[in-house]
Amino acid sequence: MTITIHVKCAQDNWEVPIEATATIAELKKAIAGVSSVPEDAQRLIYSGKILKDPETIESYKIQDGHSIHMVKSGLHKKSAGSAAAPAAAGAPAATPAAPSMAAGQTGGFNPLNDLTSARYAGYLGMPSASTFGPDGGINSAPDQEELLHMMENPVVQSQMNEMLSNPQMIDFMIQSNPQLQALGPQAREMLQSPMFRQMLTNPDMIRQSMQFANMMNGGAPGGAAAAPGAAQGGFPAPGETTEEAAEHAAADANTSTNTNTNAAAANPFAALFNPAVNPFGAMGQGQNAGANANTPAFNPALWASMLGNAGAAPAPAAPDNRPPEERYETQLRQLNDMGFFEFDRNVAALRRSGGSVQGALDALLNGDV
Amino acid sequence: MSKIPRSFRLLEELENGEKGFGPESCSYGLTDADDNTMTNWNGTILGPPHSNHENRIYSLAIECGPNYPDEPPKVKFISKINLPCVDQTSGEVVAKNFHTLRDWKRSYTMQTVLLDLRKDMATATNKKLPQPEEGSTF
Repeated sequence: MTITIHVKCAQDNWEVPIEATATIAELKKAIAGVSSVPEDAQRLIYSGKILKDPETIESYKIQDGHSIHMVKSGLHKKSAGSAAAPAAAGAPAATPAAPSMAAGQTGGFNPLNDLTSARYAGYLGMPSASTFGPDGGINSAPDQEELLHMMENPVVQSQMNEMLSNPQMIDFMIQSNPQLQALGPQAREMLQSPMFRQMLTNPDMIRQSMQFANMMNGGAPGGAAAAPGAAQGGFPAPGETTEEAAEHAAADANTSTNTNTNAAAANPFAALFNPAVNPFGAMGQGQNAGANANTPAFNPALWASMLGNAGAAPAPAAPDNRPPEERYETQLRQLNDMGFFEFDRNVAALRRSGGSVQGALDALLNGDV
Repeated sequence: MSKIPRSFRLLEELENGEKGFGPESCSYGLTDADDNTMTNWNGTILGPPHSNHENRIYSLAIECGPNYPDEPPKVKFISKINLPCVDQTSGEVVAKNFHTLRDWKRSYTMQTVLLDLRKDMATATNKKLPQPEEGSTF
């Protein structure tokens, strides 16, 4: 009986028809015919086993349509020394390794890693072209209205919700905020409470708190005017320093959390949408929280830095730890249907495009991955 | 979400392994294809590039106990390897030193374990560790 075996090697994929009774040595000969990899440079792996020459295909229970992996050795090793080879034809697993290695090096869970993948290009909350002035600097903080608008977007809302219901994300938020760390287990409770979620996701509440912020700011001009101070990360804005503003808000939050009134919910956002505490300031310099780190108490500025993270990276909302073949299952199938069979390249392309088949196609066709 | 029973899960993993879905940097399958309990598995990891593991194939034995996937599988290197999470006398992956086994989740698969081990080989601290001669076994 003749069966067809898929042979995968790095970017290549061959279909090799062969008798089920053939030996592995014969199989290698057949592979050499289609792949130009000499038999003695082939190492074949099937189901976690290295296939040995004298055994037969039957003995390994390889069946029609199954896949075996081929790893080039010997010859390839020599050329790999010249460093050019991996980039060219070979690159055994270089493509899949790149993202995973990056992830491996940070050790833990860091959803912000993904930002580098350009996966979130075009997402709301990323600084748009209009954020940067003619000289290239940031000349205006995101307008309050813009933020509101963002929060009213159901996608952003659902992402925030998802983010807050993911315990791993909560851990990450706590770890990346010294103040939250100081709060200890309370922080987790707080972040997971439906109340808090409501606070972060209800546009009405935010609008309320923004009005509040404006009042507290003594009628200070809106986001754009105070932004130069914010953009420079803690330099005094006209009239009032950021620290003053934050402390102001902190004091307020303290009292109101105690009273536990409706205002309690609104207040933390006073700082959040206080133009002096600029989410992008946090993104750029990560100093928002730092500047106020000497305030041990519940500090609304940290919501700002948190939301700064969240606003800058809506994607952490859905930190996805599923293996790519699961995450991109439908997209991969589509790519397969279109004749792209190289799993690793397809995944790399989908990663870059954030799961968009169209984007992945572009990347594949341009040879970007 | 309902739990997928052990046998279904393992059958799914078996199919993924045999058909070669998933990245080519690792591979796994039943040690004995007639093993109906699907307990003993073989795995291989292709050493990550730009490390001392490059171009090496590491063989592993994976044992999925009766409580898999509620409990992590037992993972043991057959090929000798110098890695902090691997017991240097037996080749076993020490669960408390390897985050994927230590913080095991039901959604993890053998592929997760193999890929994470491969990532572990590629970390800055581990990729330059001197490695025993290829082909030697525990």
